[in-house]
Amino acid sequence: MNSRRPTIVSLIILSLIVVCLPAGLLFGSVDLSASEIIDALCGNGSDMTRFVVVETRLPALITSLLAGAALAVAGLLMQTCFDNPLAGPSIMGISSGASLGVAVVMMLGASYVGIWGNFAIVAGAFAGALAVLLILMLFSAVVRSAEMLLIIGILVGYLTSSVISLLNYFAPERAVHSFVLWGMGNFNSVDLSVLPYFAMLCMLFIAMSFPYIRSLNALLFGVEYARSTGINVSVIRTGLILISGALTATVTAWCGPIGFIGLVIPHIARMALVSSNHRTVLPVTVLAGALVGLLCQILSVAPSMFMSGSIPVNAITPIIGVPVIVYVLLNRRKLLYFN
Amino acid sequence: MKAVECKNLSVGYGDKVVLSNINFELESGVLAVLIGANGSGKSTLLRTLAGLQLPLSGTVSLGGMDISKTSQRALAKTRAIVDTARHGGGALTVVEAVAVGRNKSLSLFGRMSKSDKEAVAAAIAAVGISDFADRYLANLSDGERQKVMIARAIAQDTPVIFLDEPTAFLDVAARIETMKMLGRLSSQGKTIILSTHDIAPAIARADRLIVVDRDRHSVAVGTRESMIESGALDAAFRRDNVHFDASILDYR
Repeated sequence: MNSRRPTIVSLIILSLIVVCLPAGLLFGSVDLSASEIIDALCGNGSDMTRFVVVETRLPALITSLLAGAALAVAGLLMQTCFDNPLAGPSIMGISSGASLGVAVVMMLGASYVGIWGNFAIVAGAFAGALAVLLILMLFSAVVRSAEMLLIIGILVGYLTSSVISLLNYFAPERAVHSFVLWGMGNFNSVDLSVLPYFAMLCMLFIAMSFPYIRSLNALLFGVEYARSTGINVSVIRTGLILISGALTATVTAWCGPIGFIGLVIPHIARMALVSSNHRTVLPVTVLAGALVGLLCQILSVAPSMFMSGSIPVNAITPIIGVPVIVYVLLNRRKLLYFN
Repeated sequence: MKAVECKNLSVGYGDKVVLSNINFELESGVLAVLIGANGSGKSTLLRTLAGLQLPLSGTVSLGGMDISKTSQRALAKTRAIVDTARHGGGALTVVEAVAVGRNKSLSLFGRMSKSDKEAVAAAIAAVGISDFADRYLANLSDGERQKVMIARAIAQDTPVIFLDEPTAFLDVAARIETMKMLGRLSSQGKTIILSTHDIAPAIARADRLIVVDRDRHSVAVGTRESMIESGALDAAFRRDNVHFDASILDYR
């Protein structure tokens, strides 16, 4: 491997983030010039401009960076942990589990208003995500085949979706409306007062994944080999599953069940680096996830310059994700990390 | 202290005893070859000796430590394993793959210290693959890849190495080369225990033979000469109507 490749890839991604951020501030339903945006960021300009730039667009962009990075890391951890390149929070039912938890608390009347409302929704998402992860862990002890486990994850996802449908059917109209909107995915729902908590949780859980690099590399050679190098595989797997669950739950609680980012980004990172060494793949996954999250946010709000309202994030992620996954599946034999 | 010691060992799965009453010792620096027919319990015995599964009864000690009472962490300092399964890791370079064998000494973030780098380079040199240290595993032949796995075990720096059919899938030249390399390692003080179906080159180089008798569910251990004399080698494939020919050191 070219030893400079990780640095070059990281610099390219960082440059793209730096280029895209101003674009993200420019796009939106309110037409603002570059100088108005700079004024607002410096604390000048009208109240309305400052509100739009500092309290709406900037938090949404930061949220998209963090959420993209968090979901991408969750996907990477799950793919290595379950030895399955198609594992990811949305595929294996984790996002659905978190959605079910959020649906339950929303139907019970919780909303994003006030700290307790936020806390209830986050707790619901955590409980739902962890419940699904526990089910997958139990099955992973019995089912050896990675494909079977993937199918079980998909089935659990269907099951939670069916319970959500039932809850929707019996819920009052207002609760259904807010839940449906939330389910479409949205990086605008983290306001400035909540952003520090969201950022802290995302960064904490991402940071917690880094000490697992050594074990993740050993797991590339199978569970039995990893164990023979002295790794307590049960403890490591539990840690990885809890972290990926926590990352998914944090993002899902505020932004809704965002699909594809967790599945796709680890593949993009491995292909860009031509490596499966987690020492480089993990940091590049963080950066690439942040970039794709940011791009999704920009593409989501860009149409609002021509029509009313933005389009849901979940309408964009498959457009980016599906071609990548199709490419990966069609080129399995050529991609080094599959061999 | 013996490198490997079995006392009244029984191996198997669940309630099923596959082999029982196994007693033997191996000194340090011995190349021991495990031979037996398919389904005789050869792999089960190797896995039990390596601590990958627990004995049904009796004890296995590696370097004086009873493996049933030893943590995986401590075991990892005593023995390394090389299996035949071809897992992922194709996008790791040879250096990165061998470095995984240094897992217990790498930093949490997988960073290699100077001594790790030296140990990895020495392990790669020991199996003669320094020329392609920067190549990806996916681009190596089966024989080259097997050498990487052996280098990874060497990098783990343990007194004992277990290898499950290390010459399977290799061509004739690679098989002989691998056996020569394992012979060199044992002469440097490592205790090597391997299972194989590639009888002739293995028997020719083995210091000890561990022969599994499928019919009697028993294990005989000794030098090549004693195993020929006792008829243990003949008995290993009795049901297949084949006999051991001492003149060619192989079955016919």
